[in-house]
Formats: sequence, C-alpha cells, structure tokens
Amino acid sequence: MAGTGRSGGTGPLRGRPLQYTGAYLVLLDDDAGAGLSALSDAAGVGGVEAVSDPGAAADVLEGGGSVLFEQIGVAVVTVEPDQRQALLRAGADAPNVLAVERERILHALGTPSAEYLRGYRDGVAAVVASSLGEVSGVAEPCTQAPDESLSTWGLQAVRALESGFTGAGVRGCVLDTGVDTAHPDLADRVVLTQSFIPGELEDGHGHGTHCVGTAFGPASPQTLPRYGVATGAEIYVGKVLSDAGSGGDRAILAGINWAITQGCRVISMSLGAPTQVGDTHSVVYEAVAQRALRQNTVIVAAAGNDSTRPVSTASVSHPANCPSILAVAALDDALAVAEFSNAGLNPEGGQIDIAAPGVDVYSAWPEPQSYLTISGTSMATPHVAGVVALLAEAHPEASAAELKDLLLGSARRLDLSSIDVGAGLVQAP
Amino acid sequence: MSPEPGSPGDERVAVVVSVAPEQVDDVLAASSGAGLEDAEPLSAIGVITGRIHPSRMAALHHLAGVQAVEVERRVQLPPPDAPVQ
Repeated sequence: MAGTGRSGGTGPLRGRPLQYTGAYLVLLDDDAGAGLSALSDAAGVGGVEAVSDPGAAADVLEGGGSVLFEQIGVAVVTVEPDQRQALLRAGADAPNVLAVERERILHALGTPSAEYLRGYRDGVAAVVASSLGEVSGVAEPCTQAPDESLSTWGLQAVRALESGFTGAGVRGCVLDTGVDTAHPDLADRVVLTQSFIPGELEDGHGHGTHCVGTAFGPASPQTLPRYGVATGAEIYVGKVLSDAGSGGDRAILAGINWAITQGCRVISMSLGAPTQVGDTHSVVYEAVAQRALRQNTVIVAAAGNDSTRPVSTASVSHPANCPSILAVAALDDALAVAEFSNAGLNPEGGQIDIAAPGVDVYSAWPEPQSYLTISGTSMATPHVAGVVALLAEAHPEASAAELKDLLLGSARRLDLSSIDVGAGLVQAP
Repeated sequence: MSPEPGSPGDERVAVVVSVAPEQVDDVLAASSGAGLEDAEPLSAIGVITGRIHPSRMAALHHLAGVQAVEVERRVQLPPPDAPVQ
C-alpha cells in the first residue's frame, strides 16, 4: 500500500522508555496467604482483595486498592511513598515473597481499563519470567497497529529510539537512485553525492531518497514521525540506478569503490537482480565485499522481493547472495515475514543474514511529496545500515568484520525460521 | 573500429573483472590487447570494468592477475508508485 502517511494506532509504543504506575507487582510463592501476611507485617500492606474477575480488579486498582490474583500468585499493591522501601525489603527478605517490582506502564496513559489490565498482565509476565530466570529473548509479536505519531514502527522495533548512539562521526553510504538534496530533512545532512549514471544527478525516482531517510534521516524531521535510524551519521549518496530505476554492475561497483575511498563504514544497497535455486553467487562481488571488509566497510543488501508467500518463496537476489554481503529480509509490524521477502534457499552465501522492518515503512520522498509509506526488502535494508552506523560509533575500534559479528550477535531472536529471517530482528546498540 | 556501444552492430558485452588489487595497473595495461575496451579501473576494490566481444572473454580471463570475468548484470527497480519496492 502506497500512501503519504499512517494514522496513529492505539497500541503500545514498543521500545519507549519504561514508565511506571505508583503500584507494585508482588510475586508470591504457593503459600500466598503467608506472603500477604509478610507484606502486612513488614510494610503495612493490608486490605488485599483476592479477585478473579478482571473488571473487578480494575475497579479496585483504580480506587487505589490492592488485589491478589490467586491463580498466578501475584498481588498488585498500592502503597504510600513511605511504605515503598519496606515493601522492597520484604521482597528481598520474606521467604514467601519471591519478587517485588514496580508496575510498568506498557500502554498509553489514559487508556480504558481493559488496556490497563493487559498492561499489568504483561508486567506480571515480566516479573514471573525474571524471577524464574526465564529470559527467552524471543520477540513477542505485536497484535495491534503501532502508534506512529512520534516515530515509525520500524524505529521502535529496532530500538533506535533508546540507543545512546546516533552514528555521529560515522560515514554511511546509500547506493541507489540518488537523493533529493533539497529535501528539508536531508539537505543539511548530505555530505557528498556522486552520480555514476551519465546525465542524471538528483533522485528522479524516489527510492534512493526513501532509503537514505530510513538509514540516516534526522532526529527532528520537519513533520513527525521520526523515521531515520542513525540521525547523526554523515550521509554519502551514490547514484548507481537511473531515474527509471535501472542500473548495472559497472555503476554499482564504481559506487562501492567510491564509498570505500570516502571512508564510509557501511554501504546500503537496496537493489538486486533475481536468482534461481541452484545459482551461485558472483565471484567478483564476493571478492569486492571481502576487500571492502578489509578496508573497514560493511556492505548490506536487500534479499529481494520475489516471493509470494505462502505459495512460493524465491532465493536471495544478487548481490545479497554473496557470503560477505549481509542479506536483509523484511518483516511486518507483527514481526512476521513479509509475503514478498526472499528466503535462504541457496548455500554458499545465499542465506538470509538478518531481518528488519520492511512493510509499510514511512520515510522521506522527493519534494513536493516529502514523505511516502512503501514496502520491500529495500526498506528493510537501510534499517540495518543505520544500525551498523550506530555500532560503528559505539565501537570505534571495531573492524568491519567485528561490526558484522556485533550486528548479528545482537539481533533479537524471532520465533521464525532462520531460512527466512537469519539471526532475527536487527537491534540498535 | 568498433560500433558505438549499444548500436545494432555492437556485439560487445559489458563485463566486470576481478583482479588482484596490487595488479590492477598491470592488468589494465594488458587488457586492451586482450580485447577489453572502455576499461575503467576501480582500484580500491580490485575491479576493472569494460566492454568486450564475447569471443575474447576467455583470453581476458587468462591474463595474469585476472581472477574472474563476469558479464554485467542489470537490476531494475519497480516504478515509483509500486507498493513493494
């Protein structure tokens, strides 16, 4: 679906800094009665009502009371500020009290009680998991439309908003149809452009501007939401595809050569040519990618959009199918594989390395349109490139090979086949 | 004299050639004798690009320092208004 933007949803802002209510979650052992007695004795917490009906629980909690969910052995208690330390001590000392944690807000403030209940259900789950040492690291699918009023769902999913890094001082390159150098969000950020297409300079297509925006767009765009991952990176753009969207290996390789000589730490290539199962990768591109790594440049490329899931899957495109080029698959906002996203069907580099947001991705588009929401592994790829720029800032001494390892090692595991998503969902440092 | 690139009589194909980075200059100097035209060196990545008649590709491949010769691939994006890019 192409469009000029997305309306905000009502779902959680995944990845937003944690916020808390004034209440506490208390995890009790099997003897809940003993635990409640301990809370009463140690912290003066009383009047905890055992409830099984969520509606009744919401009423109690909204009235400032405390409730016990007997089935799961969790109490949600409201205490006065001067009781908090005693409550936390009870969590540490009382044998029947396994854990005490502040209740998190996982949904927007002012939401209805059903939303509120889902929030503390999730909070309870977090307490139980942490208390029992169950840190799965598996991303939970989001079943609601994300709230994109402040930032795109993609930035939320890759946790770019929480990152302490912006890619400052890091040079990042996009090789594509160019960039709209007059775009108000990008004009001040683009350090250098170079065209490898005779007679064409600017982005007369839009694809390149969109990719530049996702990888390196600003922290404060002219119009919200924010859509760029590495907001402080120095942007280099090579035009290797014509305004009609076509290009050949000669221009692409010339672009890679240029980006390396400019000292770019990452090259984002949302381009590719389809392959067949059984095809081998380009020997030339693989040699180039290895030489790029030795010169401290990571190359990231789109896995391709030739699948029609669930009917059929297509193999990773050229040149993403090279072992030393990172192949990026596309996810939707439920963290499911995009129906068009190619799969790792060939050996020797034809695998998917990592996945990133690639469905309904909002980013910059040449003026006067300014912004557009589109889909594709082309949109997933610059999310990864942006994160590489953040990693390069976070680990300035790291080699390109080490950056690759950090990237893949920090990906969030998904409950999906590595044939489709590789190491999982890319995560900002 | 070869026909203009892309003209009806032009049978040459665009190629990308991987060479040992330290031998780019040597291969470049020898490449025209092996039939490579419009040669452009990309020294940082050890590549020479150009055009060549298909019948001479094997000779180019056998030049000292040449690691691989591949016919240029083309990529094509969907039009700007396509929902999937």
